[in-house]
Amino acid sequence: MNVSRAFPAFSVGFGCAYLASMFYHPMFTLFTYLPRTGGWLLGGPGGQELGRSAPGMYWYSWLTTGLIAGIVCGGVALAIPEDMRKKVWSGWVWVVPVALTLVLTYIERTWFGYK
Amino acid sequence: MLTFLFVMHGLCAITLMGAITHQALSLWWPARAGNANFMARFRAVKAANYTNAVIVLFILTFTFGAIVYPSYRIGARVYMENLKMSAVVGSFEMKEHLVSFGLGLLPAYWYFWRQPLAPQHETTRKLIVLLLALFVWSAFFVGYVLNNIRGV
Repeated sequence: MNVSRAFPAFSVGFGCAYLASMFYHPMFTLFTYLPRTGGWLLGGPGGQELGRSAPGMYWYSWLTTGLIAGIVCGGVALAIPEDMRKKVWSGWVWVVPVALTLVLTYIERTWFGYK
Repeated sequence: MLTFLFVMHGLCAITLMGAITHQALSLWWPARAGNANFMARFRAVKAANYTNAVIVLFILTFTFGAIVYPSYRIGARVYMENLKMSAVVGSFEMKEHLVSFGLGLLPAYWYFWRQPLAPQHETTRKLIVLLLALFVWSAFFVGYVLNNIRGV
C-alpha cells in the first residue's frame, strides 16, 4: 500500500480541524499547557479563565487535534478505491488553506480594531 | 539555552525564507535564457531541488519556535498587552495559525513534488509553493517586528 496517497487528505483534514479546534475552543481542546509552572492540564480551562497572571496555552492541543484529524482523513483517503480517488480534484489542497486563511482573518479581526 | 534556541529559530527561518523564495520565484517568474543578472540567476534554479530542504527547514524552524513560544507568552506578550498593543499581539496570533496551516500543508507539498513530477499537478504545485512562501514571509515579518518591540 502506498501510504503517500493519504498525504493530500491529511493536509486538508489537518487545516480544517486545527481551525475548528481554535474557533470552537475549548470544545475540542484536549489539553492546556501552563507556561508559568510548566504544568499540563487535561482539557481546556473548564469554564474558568486562567487569567493574565497564569495564562494557559492551547496551541499545542490545537496542533494535536489537527494531527489526529489529518491521520483520520488520510486513513479515509487510503480506504477509497484508486479510481474514485483519482476523480478528486488535487486543487483542494490549496483551495482549503486559502479559504481557512480568509476565515482566520475574519475571526482574528477584533485584534485589529474591527468589530 | 533559550537564547540559543531563539537564535536557531531565527537562522532557520532566514534559510527557509531563502529556499522557499528561490523555489517560488523560479516557478512564478522563471528566468529567460540569456539573462544573466543577479535576479535572473536567483530565479534560474531547479525548483524541485528545494523541496526536501524546505520541509526540513520548516520543521526545524517550527520546532524551535514551539519550544521558545512559552517564554513569549509569559514575557513579551504580557508586556505588549499591558501597553494595549492589540494589533501587535493579534499579528502574532495570525502568525501562529498561518505557520500551523503551513505545517499541515507539508505532506501534500511533498506528495506533489515527488519525482517524477506529474504534469497534471503543475498548478497545484505552484499554488502550494506560493502559499507556503506567503506563510513563511508573513511569519518572518511578524516575528522580526515583535522581536524589535520586545525580545523574548
